[in-house]
Amino acid sequence: MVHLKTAVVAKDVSYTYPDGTLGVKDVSLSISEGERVVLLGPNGSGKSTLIMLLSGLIPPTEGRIEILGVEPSKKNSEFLRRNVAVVFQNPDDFLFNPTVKEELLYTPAQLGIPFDDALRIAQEFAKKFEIDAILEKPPFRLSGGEKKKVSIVCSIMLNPRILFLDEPTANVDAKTRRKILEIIEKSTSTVITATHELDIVPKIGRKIVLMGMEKEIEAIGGIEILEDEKLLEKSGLI
Amino acid sequence: MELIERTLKEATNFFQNFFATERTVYRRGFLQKLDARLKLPGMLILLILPLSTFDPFKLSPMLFFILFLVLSSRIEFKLFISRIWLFTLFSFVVVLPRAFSPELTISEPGLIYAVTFSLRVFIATSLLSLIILTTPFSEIISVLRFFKLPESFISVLVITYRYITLTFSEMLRVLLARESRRVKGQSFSEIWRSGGSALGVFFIRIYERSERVYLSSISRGGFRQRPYTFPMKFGPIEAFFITFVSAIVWWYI
Repeated sequence: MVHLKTAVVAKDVSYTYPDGTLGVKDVSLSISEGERVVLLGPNGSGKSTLIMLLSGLIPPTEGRIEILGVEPSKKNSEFLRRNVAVVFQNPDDFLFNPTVKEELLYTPAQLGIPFDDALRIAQEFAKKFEIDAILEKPPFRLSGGEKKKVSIVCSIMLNPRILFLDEPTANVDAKTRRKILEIIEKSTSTVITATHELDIVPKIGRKIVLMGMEKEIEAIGGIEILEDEKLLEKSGLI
Repeated sequence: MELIERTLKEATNFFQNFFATERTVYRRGFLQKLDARLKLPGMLILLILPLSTFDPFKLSPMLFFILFLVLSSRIEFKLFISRIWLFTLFSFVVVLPRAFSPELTISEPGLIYAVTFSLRVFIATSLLSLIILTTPFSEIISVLRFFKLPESFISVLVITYRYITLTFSEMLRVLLARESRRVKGQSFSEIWRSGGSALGVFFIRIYERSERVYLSSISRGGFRQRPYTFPMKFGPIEAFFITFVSAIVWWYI
């Protein structure tokens, strides 16, 4: 029997925003390394908050989270940033450097990767994902699809062990959508994707964490969840 | 009475474009090729010298020098002027009352003072604009670190730059959203009221967005600022620039 290493564990995790709004409630789950997990749920079910919590960006107000065997803290932040990448739902939140090239070089610089190596990797990925023509452009001048592609390339170029994607195919055209799904399919990382789009689920994951409007997990299971109309209806997805 | 919104929109566009210099920074012009570690202090010296004098005889050669830099750096004259005319005109309007005597007639020394003052502003903004138009922001930051400026100062600069584009794009979105949903004209009091609430919404939005940008920067390695350093170069362009700056310093002294 093969024992997979645990990538992320959440135990009785709840999060309440400072203004009192409930983010997520009593979430417990375990994700193994190499797994493809889909956080499926309607708008407002707490998927984005859960991504922030599971990636260690915000601390839970209750409960405990472990990522690759460590609890997120200031002390572990470098380890986590080296191994965990997050693609935000809105690329305007994610891209803040003067040019696309500097966006691609931002994390390598923070992690102390030599400039020549970083530039080589950035150029390689830029070519592969057809963003090489926009390297000198400021991100805020790009189209929605281009911004999304740049955010994803920024996150995957250093081959993180865990990749979180928040609504990666929202507001993009068919071609970009295909490309993004291809990236997820080919990735060798543990990929955790939040989405409300039922049709893409079989392409991006084998394990489904279904979130409901009560900000709680409704069910955890395999692809068969998609056939349980009652459950999907209860969660508010259909 | 859409004047306020139009003005805000124009100002937002102006400042957004002011920092978007990708069209010019990567051209193969004189200032772009020059090592930034020489360019910045050199331009700073050239900027301080005219500010130390009101003598038009000493100020006017700087105009030719600026013209040379604009042309040799392959910057369109229209683009260059569009970035500085507002500041020059504003300073001229501010100082114009000095041109009038108490009897409200134009006094020659006063007029010369007003023109010279505006000329100094023109030279200073021109040189600053030339730095921005020919140097990537990341290189400016590297130079400041190279000269060991306080890290707190550099961090404030980096954060300001990072959030300024964000602020302006958010402002533009709020203004456009309001415009797209307005059916009829508003009275002055209505505009004043709705303008106040729009400003409140804008500040909340910008606060929440800044929080998300902060989280994204943390997810991408944090704000530790480990910039890449580039090897210093010294060639004919650098030698020419040093000679030129030295000649101007000698002329002023």
